[in-house]
Amino acid sequence: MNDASPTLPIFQVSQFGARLRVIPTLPAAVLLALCLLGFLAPLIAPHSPMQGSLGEKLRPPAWVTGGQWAYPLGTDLLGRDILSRLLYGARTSLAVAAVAVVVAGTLGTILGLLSGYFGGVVDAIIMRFTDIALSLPLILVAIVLAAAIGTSFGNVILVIVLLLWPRYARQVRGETLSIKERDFVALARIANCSHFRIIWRHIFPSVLPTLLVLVTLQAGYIVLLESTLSFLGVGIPPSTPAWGLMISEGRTVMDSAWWVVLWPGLAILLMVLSGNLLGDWLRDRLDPTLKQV
Amino acid sequence: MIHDKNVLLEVEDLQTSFITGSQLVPVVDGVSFCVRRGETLGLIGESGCGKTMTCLTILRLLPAPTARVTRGRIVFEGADLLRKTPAEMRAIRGAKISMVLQDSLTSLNPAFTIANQVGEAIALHQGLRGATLRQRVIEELGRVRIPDAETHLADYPHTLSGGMRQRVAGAIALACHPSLLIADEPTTALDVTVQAQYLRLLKDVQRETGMSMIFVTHDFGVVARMCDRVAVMYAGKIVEMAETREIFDNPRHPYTRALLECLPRIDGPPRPLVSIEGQPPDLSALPPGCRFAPRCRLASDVCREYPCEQTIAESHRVSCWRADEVVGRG
Amino acid sequence: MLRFIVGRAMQSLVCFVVVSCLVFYAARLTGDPTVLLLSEMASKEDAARLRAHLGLDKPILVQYGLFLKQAIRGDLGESTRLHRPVLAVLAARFPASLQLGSVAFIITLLIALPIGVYSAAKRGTVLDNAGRVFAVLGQSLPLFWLGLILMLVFAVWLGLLPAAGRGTAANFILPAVTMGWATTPAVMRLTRSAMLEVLESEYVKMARIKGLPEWKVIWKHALKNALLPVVTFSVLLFAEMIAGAIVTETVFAWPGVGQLLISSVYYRDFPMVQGTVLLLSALFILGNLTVDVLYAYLDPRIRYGR
Repeated sequence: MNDASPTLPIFQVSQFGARLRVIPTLPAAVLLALCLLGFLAPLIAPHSPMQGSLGEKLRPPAWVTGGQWAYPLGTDLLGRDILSRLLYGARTSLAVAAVAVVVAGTLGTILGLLSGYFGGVVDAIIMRFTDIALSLPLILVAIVLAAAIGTSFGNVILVIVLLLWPRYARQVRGETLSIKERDFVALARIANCSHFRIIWRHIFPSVLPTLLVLVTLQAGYIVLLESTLSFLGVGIPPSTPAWGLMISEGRTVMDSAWWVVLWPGLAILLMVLSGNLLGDWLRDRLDPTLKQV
Repeated sequence: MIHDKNVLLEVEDLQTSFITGSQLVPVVDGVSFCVRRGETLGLIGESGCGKTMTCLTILRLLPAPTARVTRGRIVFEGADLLRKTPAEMRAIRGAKISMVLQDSLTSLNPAFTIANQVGEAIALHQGLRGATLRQRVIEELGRVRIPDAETHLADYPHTLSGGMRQRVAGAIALACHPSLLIADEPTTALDVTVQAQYLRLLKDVQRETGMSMIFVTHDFGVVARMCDRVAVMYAGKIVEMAETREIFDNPRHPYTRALLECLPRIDGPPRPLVSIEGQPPDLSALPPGCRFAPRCRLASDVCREYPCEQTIAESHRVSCWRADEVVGRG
Repeated sequence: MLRFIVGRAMQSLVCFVVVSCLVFYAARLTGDPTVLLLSEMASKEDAARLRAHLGLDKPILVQYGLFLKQAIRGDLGESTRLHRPVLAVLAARFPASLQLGSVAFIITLLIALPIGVYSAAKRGTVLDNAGRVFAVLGQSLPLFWLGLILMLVFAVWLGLLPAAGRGTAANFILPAVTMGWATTPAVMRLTRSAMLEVLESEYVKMARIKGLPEWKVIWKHALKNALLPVVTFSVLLFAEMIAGAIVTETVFAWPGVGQLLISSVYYRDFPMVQGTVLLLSALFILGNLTVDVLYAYLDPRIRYGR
């Protein structure tokens, strides 16, 4: 059987599905482009995202009558350039996603490794925490926290980390359980390696592919979560440009200025969609047993 | 081919192929045999030789669109099954031709009771309902010798033992008293004592109802016990077919002989265990000529052309150029 | 099965206690409520008296105990904004949320399950691919944005449906579709993959061997087993549904509990936030429990134990 194709046989049956899977380059390229744009925002944004001139408020996009090419996608209620705000918003989303993933991933991975490797009481305790964390409706926690101590960049990250770490922990634990029974681990134990060494040098590298898939799959979800929280007013505080905030601010003028709401939403869609597609492709290649979340 | 009224099923030059990419790979390649009423035909061979695909083809349950019948006829009770409409085939499946699968744990639906599963085929093909249906289900369960059948009606498959489950699977297959039962390695998953009971049960049912059986197995012991005739398959073709006694006494194909030699014997002095060298061939890249040649001790130049079938004795056919040189097991 | 239910019920209770602790603690983080309640002219003695009156001078565990005791009796405090008992406001708002949620849920089931089943049965066809594209898009769209766009297109530009608020049956359409969108793609994907797996099984082959018509093979034999993993994953979906309710109600100004929560946060009406979160958490936990029991019912292996 020819095994050169990167797709699983079942996807070969459908043309479109096959193309979606065989060419991850499109979502990867889009995602990379968005990351780059966000990263370079201070250099390429035509205007300041925070300063706007009220004289320019609610200008439509450049190709509609009344628009100007100085403000290609139009301006918002305070006269701020939407394109610039979009670029900075990309930065915000990426920053939140990156930090949240690193923190949650590290925490979850460590706990998962410990839980899977040592088993017994350690495992029981950690899994208990994971169960409770997974069964709490964390959007409510976000809202309560926002009501209690206000909104901030840190709070958003905290909430997302609380939401994410159990999934990493669970997945890593499962992988660890199956890997630790393998021969090369037994050999390491016979060679009298310390626990730490075994975990770090032998088990962790095998867990990495799954982690990678999880990270990519989660990236889209994090961006969605962050923008939803920002939209509701319990996420990023209004001082920082964020896509969710832009949409919520644009609500009041939506009927006459549709562009204020359209562009940020499309940006979110683009980023999340490419993240999801890339994550799906990675999962199909590296670990088809991962369930959809 | 023998054309007499006694022939229930006649398979003529059947070819079933898998579609991989743009290639058609035949996994059943020109297979012909017949099954008479009341007779049991054994299909024996290594995994992947096409035994199960042949059975699925008869029932026309091939996994479309990856597999297709590309040639041949399957004549059952006088009509070609390959020409029947889906609705006609559904009327035949379960009622006239039925099948027992290998693993009863997976072939019984875990979400439904035994009564439900046994009764389903009866309700479908014979239209029984309510109390009559229930009575009939109890009868069928009794026929496969499940004690206290009535108490098990509401049981789920996972609560039963392996042997019981296989009987239930048998009850489902036999519920409508089919004229042909296809058994695909039904005892492989059972332990030996349970195996013996189950085989005896099938034989008894056959005696009572006069049904025919196709028995797929890789176990010559089962063949000896159950089958009147045997067809030996290799790489999608039948290489030898004869009555059971004849196959054991006088195997004429090197493959058959090698298979028999692999069986450990307890009479005579202890001998080292034998196995057949090599692997079954890749069906998408077959050598021209005899498919067993790469592994055959008697292979020679003449084997580069596919051997035509010889008839050695009445109802003993073999496909080998050097059949005369194959010394029997004795 | 009874043992299973009791075990799960205990676990649910623990969860609820944890949530109430979190909420209670979060309330204390807002700072001294007396500052908000008294005018600036009030003296220190007034503040101290008010604090004693509110029971804030007692140790925190005692406060928590009092809080629980009151909550069980149904007294969740009084809204600082509306000056009405929290429980009364919640009770008045709850039916609206329940109605919207039910309609959205029914829409999800009616759309996602059949499409998921059909997608699996006719894998590789145009409809299957369309369904999968729809599912991927659906999971990538922000819900609130979808609601706004739908509102823009159907209410503002086309004028076909009312934009916001609750009133006639027409008011249900946009919010219910939006809220249903939260769960439909996921359920569709789950159903499809569960069905695909089940359709490969031996007992489905057996059902065909019996001569059953294909629709019965799919809808009776396959689906019942496929529903199992779908139901287990609905646990995760329940959280999405509550989030979806909050977002949808906010977007469409639907007078339900979700919208109440967000506006209470905006106005810093902490008793209201507290009560609403407790209610939603209780619902969520109860919902999970129901799902687990349903799962046990569907799988005879759990129902009758091993």
